[in-house]
Parts: sequence; C-alpha cells; structure tokens
Amino acid sequence: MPPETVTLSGLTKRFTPAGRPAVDDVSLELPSGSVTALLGPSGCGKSTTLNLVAGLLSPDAGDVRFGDRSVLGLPPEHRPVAMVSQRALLFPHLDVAENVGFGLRMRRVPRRERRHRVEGMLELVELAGYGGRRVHELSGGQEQRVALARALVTDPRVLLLDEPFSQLDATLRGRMRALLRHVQRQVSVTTLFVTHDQLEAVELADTVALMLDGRIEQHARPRTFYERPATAAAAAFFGARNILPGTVVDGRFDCGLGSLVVADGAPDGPGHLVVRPESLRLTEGAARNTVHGTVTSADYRGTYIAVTVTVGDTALHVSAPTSVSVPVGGPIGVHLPPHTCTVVPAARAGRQEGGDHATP
Amino acid sequence: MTPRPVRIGLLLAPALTVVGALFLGGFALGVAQSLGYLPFLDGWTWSVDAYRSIWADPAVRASVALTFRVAVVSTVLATVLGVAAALLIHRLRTARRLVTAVLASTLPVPHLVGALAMLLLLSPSGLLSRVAYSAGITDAPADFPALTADEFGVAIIAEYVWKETAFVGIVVLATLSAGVDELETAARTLGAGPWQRFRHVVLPLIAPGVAATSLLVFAFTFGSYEVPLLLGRPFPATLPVVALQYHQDVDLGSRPQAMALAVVIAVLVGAVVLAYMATVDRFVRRVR
Amino acid sequence: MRRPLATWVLVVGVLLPFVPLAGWAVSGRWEYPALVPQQLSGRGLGLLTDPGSRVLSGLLTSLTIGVVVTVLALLVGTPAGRALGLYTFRGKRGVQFLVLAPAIVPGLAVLLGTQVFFLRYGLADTVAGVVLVHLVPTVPYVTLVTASAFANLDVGYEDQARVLGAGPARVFVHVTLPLLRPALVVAGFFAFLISWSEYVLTLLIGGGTVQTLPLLLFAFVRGADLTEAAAVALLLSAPPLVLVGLVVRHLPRGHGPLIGLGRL
Repeated sequence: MPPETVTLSGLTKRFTPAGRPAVDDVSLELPSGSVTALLGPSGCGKSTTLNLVAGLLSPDAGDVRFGDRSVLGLPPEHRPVAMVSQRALLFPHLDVAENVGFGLRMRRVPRRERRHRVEGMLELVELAGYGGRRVHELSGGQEQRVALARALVTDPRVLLLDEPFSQLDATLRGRMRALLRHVQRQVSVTTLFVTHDQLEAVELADTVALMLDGRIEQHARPRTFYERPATAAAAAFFGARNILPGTVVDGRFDCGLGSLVVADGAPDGPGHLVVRPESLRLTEGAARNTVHGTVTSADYRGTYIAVTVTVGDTALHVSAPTSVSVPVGGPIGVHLPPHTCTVVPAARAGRQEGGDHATP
Repeated sequence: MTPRPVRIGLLLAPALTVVGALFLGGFALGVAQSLGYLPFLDGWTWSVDAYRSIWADPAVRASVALTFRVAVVSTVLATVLGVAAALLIHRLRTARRLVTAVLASTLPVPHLVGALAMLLLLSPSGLLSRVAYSAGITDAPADFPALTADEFGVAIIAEYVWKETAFVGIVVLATLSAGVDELETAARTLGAGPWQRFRHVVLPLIAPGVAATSLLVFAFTFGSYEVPLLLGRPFPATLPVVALQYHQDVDLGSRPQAMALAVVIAVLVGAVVLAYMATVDRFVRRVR
Repeated sequence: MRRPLATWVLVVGVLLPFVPLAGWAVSGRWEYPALVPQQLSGRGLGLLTDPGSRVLSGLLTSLTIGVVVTVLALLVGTPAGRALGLYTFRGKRGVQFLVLAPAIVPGLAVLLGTQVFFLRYGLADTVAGVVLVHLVPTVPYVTLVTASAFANLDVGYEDQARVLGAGPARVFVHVTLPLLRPALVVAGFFAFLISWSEYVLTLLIGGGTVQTLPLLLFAFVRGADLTEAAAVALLLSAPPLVLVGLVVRHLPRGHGPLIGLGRL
C-alpha cells in the first residue's frame, strides 16, 4: 500500500483538566513517504503526540488525518500504523519469528505467507536465520531490529518510532540509524520519529519539527535550524550559543557590541541576534563587523578550541581552529560574518513554520 | 473507550461483591445477632445481654487469656526461629537447596494433619513418651509430662511453631537472596563487623517481610479452630472453639453469645493488627 | 562447628513429626511402649483405594470443591488485581484494605453470622454453599498475587499489540494472559490449596453433610482409629506437597506471593 500523507491539525491533549496541555495546538504535515523527526527535550510532549497519532490516546481537540480521511474514530488496531518504542517490547513468550509475525497473525494472514514475509523482513534487518531464537537471547541492537521488522512486516502506511535507539551505545546507534535509513527507503513508509538528540534528527530526517513545552517551535529542514533559526529557543536548542538582545534599525543591529551588519531581510524593531560559535572568526585586525575584547578562557576540545571572549559585559563563544594560539587574558578581535548573523523576533510571536523549508 | 472510573469499577465489582456480601455482610449480621437479632424468628429484642453474659463468664475470661498466650508465644517463637533458620540456611555452603526444601516441607501440610502429627508425637502414649520409656526415664504413659490437652497449650504452640517457622523462614530467605551478599561485602570494606552488618544491612532488608509474616502468624493462630480443638482442653478452650461450641448448642438461646464471641475475636484481631502495624511501622523505619 | 549442629537440629525438628504419622499409616498394631510398629499392615493405605470407604468420595468432594473454588477465585480476584495493580484512583487504599482484610481476619469470626442465612436459603449442607464460603479466604489471595503481577506488567506490551492490529480481546488472549501466566498459575495453585486444607468453614456451612477430606480426617481422629487417620492425613498432605514442589520454582520475585503460604 502506498504511504500516506499524515496531517495533524490543532492537536491538543491535557492529562489534568486544569494543568497546561501536554500537547498544545500542534499542527504538522508529514508528506507521503517522508521522514520527520519530532525533536525536543524530555517531557515536551513529543511521545504524547506519537501516541495520539497511533491512537493509544485520544486528543481533547484537533484532528489526525491519513490522506484526506480522519482516523480519530479508529482504535489503534484499525489504523495503518506501526510503532517501535524505546524498549523493544518483544513478547517474551514468543520466539523471534512469532514476534515478527504477530501483526500478520492478528490480520489472519495464512501461515505459509506469514512465514515467507517474516523471513523476508528478517533478512531486510540483517537477522536472517534468527527466527527460531528466544527473545531473551538477543542483544539490545538485535532486539530493536526485531522490533523494527515486527513493525514493518504488516506494510504499515505510517511508521512511528519513539526514541528507538536511545538505549543503545553510541557505535551501535550509528549503525542502527544507517540500517533504518536503508530500510525506510526500501519499504517507503511515512515515518515520524521522536528523539531528544538533535544529531540523530539531523542525520535521519527530511524535516525536523522542534517541540518545546507542548508546542511546535519550528518545522523545517535540518539545515534551516543552523542557518535560519526562527526563534531564539530553536537557535539555542541547536547550539547557537551566542544570543544577544538588541534592535534592528535600517537593516543594522544595535546591541551591546555596537552596530552590526546582519543577514538580509531582518525587519526593523527589537530582536535577538543569533550566531553560532563556529561562525565567528578570531582576528587581529580591525575590519567591518569586528569587535574587540579580552580572552577569558580557551579550552581544548579535540577538533576545536572553545574560546570565550568578553566584550564589555557581553560574553561571546567562539570555536577556533586548533591551529591558532589563543592567549588567555590578552586582547583579541572577533569577526561576525554578516551572512551568519540571523535576527529572530524578540518576543516569540506564536509558532513559526519554516516557510519554504517545511516541504522538501 | 470506556471512561476510566467505569473501567476500574467494573474490574473491582466481582471481588467487592464477594467480599462485601460475605465478609462485611457476614460481620454486620454477626454484630446484629450478637445484639439479640434472630433472623426469621419473631419476638426478638435488641439487647447487650450476650456481651454481659460472656463478660461475666469465667470460662470466657480464661479463654481470652489462653488464646492470647498461645498466639503470642507461637508468634514470637515462630518469628525468632524462622529468622534464625533463614540466616542459617543462607550461610550454608553445602546442601542449601536440600535444607530449604526440608524447611519448606511443612508449609503445604494442612494444620489438621500437623495437629494429628503432634498428637502422635507428644501425647502420653506418643512417640516421645515411648522414647522416654525406652531410655528408662519413665515407667508408664502417666509419668510423661502432659504436653497435649494441657493447661498451657504446649502441643497447640508446638504445631503452630512447627508450621509457621517455615513460613517466616521461607519469606525471609526470599528477601535475603536478593543481593544481600554483595551489600554485606560492601559494608565489610567500609569496616562493619558481623553484628553491625546484621544490624545495619541484613535487618533493614528483612524487617518488612518479618513484620508482615509475624502479623499474619498472630492473626492466624488467634483465630484458628481445628488445632486447639484437637490438641487443647475442652476447658479452657481458645475463643474460636468456645464460639463454635455456643453456636452448635441445641438451645438457640445461646446463639447471641456465640455471635458476641465471634465479634470479640474479629475486633481483637483487628485491634491487634492496627496496633501492631503502627508500632511495627515505626520499628521498620527505625532499623533503616 | 556450630553450623552443622544447628542444621541438624533444624532438619530433625522439622521432620520428626512426620515419623509417627508415616509409622501409623502402615502399622497394623503399635502399642505403648513399642518404638516401631509391632505389625505392618496395608489396611490404612488400602482404605485410600477402597471404593467402599468414604475416603474416595471425600477425595472427590475435596477435588470438586477445590477446582470450582480455584476457577471462581481466579475469575473474581484477577480483575480486582488488575484494578489495584495498574491504576491509581481515589479510595484505592480503602479498597485494598477491604479486599485484603479477609486474608487476615479469621474467617470463622465473620462468617458465623451468615450460617443461618445459608440455612434459610438452602445453601447450607450443599457443595455450592461450601464453594461460596471458600471464596472468602481465596479471593483476597488471588487479588494480592495478580495485583503485584499487574504492577510489574509493562502495559507497553499491550499498547504494542494494539498498534500491531490486535483488538482488546485478542490483546488479552495473546499478550496479557501469557505474560501473567506464572502469577495465575501460582495464584490458582494456592487458591486450590487453601480450599483443600479448609476445615472450619466447611464444617460451618457444610454442616457435616459435605464431607471433604479434612472433615473425614477429623472424624477418623475422633474415632480413635489412628491407622485410618494417619493414612488419610498422608493423602491430604500429598497433593499440596507435590503442587508446592512444582510451583515453588515459578514463584514470582518478592515476598507478596509467598504470603498465601501462611494461610495454608
């Protein structure tokens, strides 16, 4: 079956009648066959959103549509979704093949076809021949691959992943991501996955929806979060450590550092200047957009040196190449390349769709 | 989806019906009948005569004393011996499984069987008395000290201790096996001696289990019927035996006394349980 | 060297009471002061297989009541275990207390008042009436064991099965039931054993008409035929010993499930 476009509109869910909603007016469009990461810190409502799409929870307001059909009235077992969660949740009383075939059995697929499809799926997740194993004999990575096979064997049109690799070690996590991307292309399924790891989101997803406090902060391509974050919070989540308050006047940004040239298109008015540590350049000379201060710390970090430069009462974080020598306590210039200086509105005026970037 | 409160209500309904009707209902009916209510008969009146009459009855007073004594002595002995047995078995290096199985073998044996076994062991013509004769200590059954149908209730206590020691011991063993050795080793590296390790590592771990089991042992030994009936004296008998004696009396006029005794048993057990829970709770917290 | 001595004291102390029991069961004559039976006889054990004796019918009655009580106690107690193990709700402590109270308060003390009603409504002296009162000590135990099993049950498994296409009924059959099987087996075995060992409640409601094995044993002890009594006592102890031996390995962690042993 072809993958479905999934549309969430105005989705809201409260767990306590008086409290803040866990999911607050969330609208998202997941194009057919795309991979979308739902990124956010723990407790931001991303898993709740996933459960709303799966049908394990019902929303207080809003709609979930697969294609042009609302699925709100459907219980989880009647939605064309599959889910893989943080814990593999393999049924301990069944062996690997029986686990993978569980969904087919529930759909009363004949035994022979079931076996055939289970074998094919185990092969796809590189576990051919593991069908007869007991689930407690599997390693963590194998468990998650079986869980993935179990989810995909029923040809779901929507695949939901809830931090599927977060309990694996770093090396294994990398291999699992590669496998997931490979499998996802093979079976072509609209995929929504929840993660708190921005690198994982960037590596796997076509688009990333950043969720903070139950709301979508920004939904855009991964690049956009680095180059054109929509809000200060989004910029901070993605590691833009320099966020300075100020005002835009005639395309220039006035702040504690003086008047700076910034990237085009900044509207006049109060705002925040956002610039990543790796965009800044240490310099000796005095050029345009260069400020002068004192080096207060310089820490070796393997691939770069984390430098803090104090300018007046503002601290700038700079990632300098390891080849330069940085004298702590000495004077230094910091160049802010204008095209890397993004200005975001001061007050977060609602949620922002990343404009042209939301649809790949 | 069914709303949550409805779902919880439906899940609880069968059990609450059984417990509500038979347990609470039964207790309420017992209280009513102890106050003079005679179901399906005319001409009854409310009164507290039954309580007055059992209060005045020296047999009942003796029975209360006996019941408490048997229950308290049995509980203390079973608890101490059970904990000791568990600690002993836990430290065994060989045959640990075998000794555990031996200890546990009394658990599933019905108390009635235990009572018969004690009768055959402790009565004047029982096995111990025969051993005493063979050893030249006694010359006749009458020389052997009365251990069954005696005033103190030795055989009753022996039966309870025999079975409940295993109960306490097995529960304590279950709590001990969960990593206690590593904790003791850790305490050792921190300089704790044997007594300190018991007091600060082992005791806090086993205390909740010991508290719960000893409470159950007390409640059981207080309310049990068949063991004192077989191994005790007809006078004074323990409270449950007396209650059923009254109940089986052909004269329906003694029914209220039977019910009053049942209510007294339930209230005494309830009161002891509550008092025990309060003090033991404090004890369990203090040893931690 | 104190440890081996203590171990021997323990082993002898536990096993000693079984000795005269076993001796009497196979003795034909064993008079004071003989230390061993003067004459061995198969009379006691033969009684157990003699269709003419009351033992076989007593065995059948005990088994019937035990099985029916076990099934009913599981059906009644397990849903309550789910409610108490999985959910938090207002009044939960009260419900817990109420459901578990019959495991502590002596059954005789609360059921004495019901006997006249069982009599009036034709349930006294019947197997049905005895089954009903046996639910009082067994349901709390089933609830206790299943509640701790449900508390440890990862509802993620049930959610996962839903997403994989199983409706509520099939989730229960294919996922919940297999996951709970160890707890249900243990709860069922102990419900059976509690019913199997019960004496005074059977006497109270069965009135001596419903002759289970414990009632029969009591009659034999009172009848002073110690060979008969010892043989029936062994018959009464054998199934529990075998059953507990079988399930003891499968006991779930924690001492909650063991508490039922104190009721036997």
